[in-house]
Amino acid sequence: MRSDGEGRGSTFFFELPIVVGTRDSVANGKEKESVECDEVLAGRSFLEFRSNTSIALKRHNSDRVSPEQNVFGISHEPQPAFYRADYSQRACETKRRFSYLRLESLTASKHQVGCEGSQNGKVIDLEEKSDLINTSRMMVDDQPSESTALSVLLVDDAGSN
Amino acid sequence: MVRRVLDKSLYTVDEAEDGVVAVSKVAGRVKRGEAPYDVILMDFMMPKMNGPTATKEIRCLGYEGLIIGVTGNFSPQDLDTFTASGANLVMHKPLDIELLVANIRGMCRIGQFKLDTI
Repeated sequence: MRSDGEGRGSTFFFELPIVVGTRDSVANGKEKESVECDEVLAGRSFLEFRSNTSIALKRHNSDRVSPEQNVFGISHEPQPAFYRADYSQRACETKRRFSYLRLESLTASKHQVGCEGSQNGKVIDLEEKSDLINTSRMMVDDQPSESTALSVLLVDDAGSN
Repeated sequence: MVRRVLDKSLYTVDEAEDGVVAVSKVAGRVKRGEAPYDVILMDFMMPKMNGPTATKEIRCLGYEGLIIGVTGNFSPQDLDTFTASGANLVMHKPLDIELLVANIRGMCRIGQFKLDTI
């Protein structure tokens, strides 16, 4: 017998620390990873800007969690070290593109798994908080500059205007 | 003088002394796979190859950018000759630089708009 909570899936929150820097820093011998995230466009994940220094990636996992399962026993594989996201504002025909600069590799991750469930198991919300240790990222706005110089060919013999 | 003004307007200016050189410069960019000029400012009267002929040749190369013809004899016939050869706009000498820059900006915006909406 299925409970009402089976179809709810689970939502994971990854809070990624970011450092807002300049484009010059990107070229400073560091590894740059431009951002592409099909998950965002596909609606499976979305970015949530919480402050100037952190960005949260919310990911919805459609895997059903049965109320009979011991949710504390669920093991979570460490997530990939970085996420790529293409943040698009199609409605206004502008497209902003963000990049993450990974300064150090992901060395460890902590998982705090909490479970809120009623006794009869009708509602199960699983939240995973992942702390990225020794990892800092730099978010770079890749939006092309609109002040690009136009190239002009001036065809005129020297004697005229 | 035109070059100085355009340089100040943050344009990258290349020069050709006549129509033959202009055609070869455009063809060279096409051959090398480089980005085409955004704007070509074409005088009417030039040695070797005049402006309308050069404009026609450049259009035959597939150039779809903005070509502004410039003439000292702003007669309806010159206007028709230039526009028939493929110029988007014809201005007369002496050039009103502010009008020229405004035209370039405006026409490029229109061109961009067309590209976006097609």
